Amino acid sequence: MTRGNAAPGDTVTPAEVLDWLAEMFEEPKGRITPATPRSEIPAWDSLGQLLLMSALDQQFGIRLTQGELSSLASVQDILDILTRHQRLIEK
Amino acid sequence: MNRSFERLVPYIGRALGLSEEELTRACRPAVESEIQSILSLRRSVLTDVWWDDERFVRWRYFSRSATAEAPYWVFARNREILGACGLEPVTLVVDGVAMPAVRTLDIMVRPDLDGLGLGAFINLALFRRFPIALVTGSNERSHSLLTRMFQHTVDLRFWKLPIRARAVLDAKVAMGPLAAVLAPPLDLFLAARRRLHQSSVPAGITIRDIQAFDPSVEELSRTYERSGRVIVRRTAEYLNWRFVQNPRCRYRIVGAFAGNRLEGYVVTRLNLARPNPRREAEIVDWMARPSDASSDTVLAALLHEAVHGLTRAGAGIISCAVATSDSTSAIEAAGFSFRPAERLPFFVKASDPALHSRLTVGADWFITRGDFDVE
Repeated sequence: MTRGNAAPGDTVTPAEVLDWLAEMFEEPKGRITPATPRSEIPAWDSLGQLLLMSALDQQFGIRLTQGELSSLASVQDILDILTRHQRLIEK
Repeated sequence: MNRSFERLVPYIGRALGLSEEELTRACRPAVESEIQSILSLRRSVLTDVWWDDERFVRWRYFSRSATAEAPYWVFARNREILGACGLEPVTLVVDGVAMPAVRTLDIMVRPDLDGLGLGAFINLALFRRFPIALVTGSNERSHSLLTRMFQHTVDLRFWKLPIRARAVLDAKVAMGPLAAVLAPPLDLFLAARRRLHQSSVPAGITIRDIQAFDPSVEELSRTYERSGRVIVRRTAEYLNWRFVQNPRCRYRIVGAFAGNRLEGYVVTRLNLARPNPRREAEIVDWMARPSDASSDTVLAALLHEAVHGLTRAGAGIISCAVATSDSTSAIEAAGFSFRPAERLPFFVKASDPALHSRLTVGADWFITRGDFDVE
């Protein structure tokens, strides 16, 4: 999946989300799992957080609240947000 | 991934509960009356502060008459300082053409806002205001961000010269009481080795301490400003502020003179005010008139005097870091050994794409430890 080609409102699988995050955070595919904490992803820093907010908005139409932002501590938290916004489908 | 200011600014606004207009207004130069708030932010972020931080902040960011506005930018919401970044205005000379630039230093964000994007926003706001930004050094936390926001252009490489055996033995191996036995003969060996690297002062040159630079240093600096070279210009105002008036560390400056003409200088420090169990000293900055065929000899004589002075002052080991090939023969002639594993990264960003491309040719930079503000 190249999320840059997707339209807001698309649904994705967990595997697609992991590949998308790996690309965004400049990690090798397969290194990021749902359990990976933010602290183990060097590029999920101040700039990475802005890019994630922007990407979730542009590509899924999801605008994170301040509470959601503050609670992002692992990849699973991103998957949970996509689930809450009905963007994640199990395949 | 689009990392432009315009694209990302709405998101940081949302994260902090500010409109885009409020956000843009929030990032501004600090005023001196905010020093206590700045110090409070710094206390919440910096660990192991061994210096008088108020004295340091006043000197670094509020003392230079050369700058109209304080080179310390803050991000303030309702007068509350949430983040900040220090700047050091410099004159960058690229292929002989002088242009203003800033070093960015000490970027910090209040810990409870860490990771929301404020640090990245401050960098983006500064990029809009200042066309060329330079950063020397990184740490584990900042390296990834710097690599993506700036161009990692070149690394300063290190050379070292052990003076006292204990400085090496204690760092490399846990030898316990054996170190006390081995150290005296090894010290004799190191002293004999240094004598082998003694260099004589070229005919017509005198070497002496300088208490403060005079304007002739700028003429010396201008001899480095040529095609194929990128360098921060050394002026008397800048060097005296940086090295003579520095409250965090005492520096020694040694000059080489032909009559009254400054042919070169070297700046050293042995900072024992900070935790420094190995008594590590540094050759911080230098210049030697490059048009002279004997410039290497002048630099070698200056380095020899620098080593001699630091040895007398009690240094355990001396390091020298540089990103240029020009000086390495003189450094090695003074007895220093190359340490390939040690590096200090240097980053650059210019808003003009052609200039940015020019500035990222790492081999053209002349950078010394003087380009790095950590003492």
